[in-house]
Amino acid sequence: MSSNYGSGVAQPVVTLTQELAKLPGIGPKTASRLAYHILKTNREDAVALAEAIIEVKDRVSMCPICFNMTEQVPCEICSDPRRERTICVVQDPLDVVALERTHEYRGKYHVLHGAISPVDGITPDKLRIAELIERVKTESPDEVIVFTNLDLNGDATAVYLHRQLTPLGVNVSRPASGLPVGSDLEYADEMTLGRALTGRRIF
Amino acid sequence: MISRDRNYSTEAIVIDRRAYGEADRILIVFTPNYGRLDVIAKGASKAKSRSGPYLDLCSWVNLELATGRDLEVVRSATPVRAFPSFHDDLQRFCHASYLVELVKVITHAEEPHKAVFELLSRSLVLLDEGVDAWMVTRHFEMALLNELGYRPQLFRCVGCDDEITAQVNAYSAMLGGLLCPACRDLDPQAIPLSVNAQKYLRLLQREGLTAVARLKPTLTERAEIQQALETYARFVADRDLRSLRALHELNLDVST
Repeated sequence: MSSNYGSGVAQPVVTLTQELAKLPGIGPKTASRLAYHILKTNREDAVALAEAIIEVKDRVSMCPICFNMTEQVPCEICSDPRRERTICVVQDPLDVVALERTHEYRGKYHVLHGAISPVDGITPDKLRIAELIERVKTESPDEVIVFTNLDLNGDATAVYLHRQLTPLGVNVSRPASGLPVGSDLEYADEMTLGRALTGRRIF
Repeated sequence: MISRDRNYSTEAIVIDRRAYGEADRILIVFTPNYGRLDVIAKGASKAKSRSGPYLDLCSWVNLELATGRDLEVVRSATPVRAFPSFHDDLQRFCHASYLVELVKVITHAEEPHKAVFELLSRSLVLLDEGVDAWMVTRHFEMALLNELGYRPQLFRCVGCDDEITAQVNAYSAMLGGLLCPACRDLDPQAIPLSVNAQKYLRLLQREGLTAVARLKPTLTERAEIQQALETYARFVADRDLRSLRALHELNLDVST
């Protein structure tokens, strides 16, 4: 893509555009727009952005227990004695944020950093699964909740974890799945409707 | 390439997908009339998206598409058939992933292949219905290679053109067929095949799945057949196939 930016554009702008285009979901056009936006903004805002990027790289690291991103080691959640003896397994650090926002879960987490995806070459050894198995052996949690996405990759990961963890004598569960709040029944797919029916509860 | 209206509908199977932007998904779909297409499904990753649940890998759907500047835009998606077993059977999911990856890497963009679409959809249905995954995959490899013009030569030596006789011969992926013992050295990478493995491959090529379903190859013969077809598929694809590596790593490539 560098050739698209080579003519009549100052080299620092080309470099910035190329760096921005490395970010997920940012294509060459968006990268170019962002680069020019940064160029037009005042110096203080640009410096604040650059410093925030450096700070996040310098001060945030991965918790050696749950593999969430943290400023302290071990992370706040892992070092909190009031947390319940359950481990909620999620794909990404952002899933921890989403679950903490619910205030419904009081246990600990384990971040896999992805899900099994054969077409992307992601196999269990590329995820934090071996560390989870070791953790279950040493911590003996009451339950492991596999909260991976409810798509094929998430389900494949859940099936794999179930097979690996059940022999260790721990209860392995999967979250209930069904219809999103506020949705119309007629637009739901048959798998969602089927799961919603299977997991129904008495009033 | 077949000309298309600005808005059109087609059956499609999702053969690759990736997240894009906040909640969009870029998909590669395989269609009977337009071949392989790159499409974008806006908002597909949102929980309340109507089409999102149908646009996972291997999904067989009816798509309403609009011609976009760079990518076709999904206006709506409705399911043709779901494959529920892929959600709770890792082996079937990995085999299905291999089939769609093979179609993605071997076919070319916007080249229609109705027969390949039918082969892919039928094979996914068979996998979902619980038919021996190893057998379905071997049949798929052979039928796909035949259909796309890479039919392996299993009856005459690809070195000297003599008729192949009932003895151990070697399969050359580079030359696309069997080598008799006299020509064996033409390809040092050629894979030795027992007589039964050769018979299985010939029957698979000539008569298809129903015919080979009667056969019960030994584990050694299965390994030979699998190695010959996988090596050839990799050679034709001219690249490493990630889902094939996953199948081997997870030890799910053999029939259980």
